[in-house]
Amino acid sequence: MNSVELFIDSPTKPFLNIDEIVAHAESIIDDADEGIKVLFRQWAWLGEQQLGFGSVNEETKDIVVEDLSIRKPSHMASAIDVALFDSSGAEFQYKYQFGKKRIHNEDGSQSKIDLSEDAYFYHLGSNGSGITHAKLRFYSYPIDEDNNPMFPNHHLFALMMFIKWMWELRKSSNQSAIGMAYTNWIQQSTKAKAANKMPDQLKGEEIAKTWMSMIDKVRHYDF
Amino acid sequence: MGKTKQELVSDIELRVTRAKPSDDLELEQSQVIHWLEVAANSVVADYLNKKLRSKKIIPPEYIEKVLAVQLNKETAPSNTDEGIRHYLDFSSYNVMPLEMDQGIVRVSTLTGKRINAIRDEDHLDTMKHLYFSKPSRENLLWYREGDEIFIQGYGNSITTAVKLNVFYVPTIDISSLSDTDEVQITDDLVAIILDVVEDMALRQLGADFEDLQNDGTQA
Repeated sequence: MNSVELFIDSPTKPFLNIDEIVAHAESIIDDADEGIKVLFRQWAWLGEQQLGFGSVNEETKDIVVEDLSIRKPSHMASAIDVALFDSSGAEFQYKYQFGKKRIHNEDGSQSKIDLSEDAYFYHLGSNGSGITHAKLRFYSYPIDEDNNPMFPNHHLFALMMFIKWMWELRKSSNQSAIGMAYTNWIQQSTKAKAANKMPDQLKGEEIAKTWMSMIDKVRHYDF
Repeated sequence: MGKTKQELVSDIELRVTRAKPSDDLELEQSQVIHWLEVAANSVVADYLNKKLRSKKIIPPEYIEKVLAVQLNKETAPSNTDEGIRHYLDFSSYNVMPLEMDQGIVRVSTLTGKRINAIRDEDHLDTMKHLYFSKPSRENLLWYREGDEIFIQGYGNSITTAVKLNVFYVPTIDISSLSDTDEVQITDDLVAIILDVVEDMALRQLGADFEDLQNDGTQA
């Protein structure tokens, strides 16, 4: 077994699959029958959508342009950045147009390629006919080989609490049980969302260097 | 498990004859065995239902496993909306009718992966509209219609023969056992079942049923 395989099997792996989330939920909910446990899978996904993204969700993909369109990956949640290239690998600048098509003629923008989007595609303006591929950086819902979502490890406890809350709602338990489950979910989801935003050491240092430093960053040798 | 078929039958004969059976007793063994089966299935079902209601497991003594049951393709779908369904023919096995069809304890793949039960078929209609709960190859589900256990999630493209394991609670079958075979009843239920059978016997034969004379005729 190589080090990568060891990492994949590790309890500290960055993502858990849907069966692992459901199993953890089952470990705290013992009065649901098999048929209801199938709902846990959907509830896991429902909860995940409430928790948002963090750096572990960042992904980059190289996409071939077809008919001036760039198909968004099906597991993409939100775009971070796009870069456009021609067949020689030269990068081109673009101007993002709100709406599907540019409606204004803007002086001085003709050298930039129009880029717009709809729910499924990015669209290039007719001045982008030379673009052959695009690199897209985006927040993704990571998926496994079976097309099921993967869940960041630090979302686990929040998702367990979300499923527990859904279960109490389904059971129509007394209001205090539902309320307690809801409170637990809110507390744990807040922690999970905070963890999403927590930069690691490398990122933190970089942010500190660029945002927080009081030291003059003028590089005299550039002059 | 400890009592043989003959021991149970003899116990009943002793009870209904007040421990003085005559050699011309006209109480057929087959009748006693029938009473035993009726009583055992009722008492055991009650016992297991109580366990299930209190979220306890079914004692393993009552569970039998059938390994590698062949999955069949339905030739004439009863519901065309569902497309072709796949099922396990379980007509050769008598499943004890427990609440929520929990006589089928577990259905699993040959690799041991549990297939979840949808014990209420209406529930399945809801599942089909939930992307990650709907039946799929990664989320196989089963439900039962009569003697057929339908497996949802394989779609229409099974290329190789699929076999599954089924764990179930069989009905108590005493008549097919030989006299020296042990009856699959746990010891804690034997006394209850004997009481029930004695009551049944005396009710049917008459409370004063007694034949103490070896005179060739039933009193």
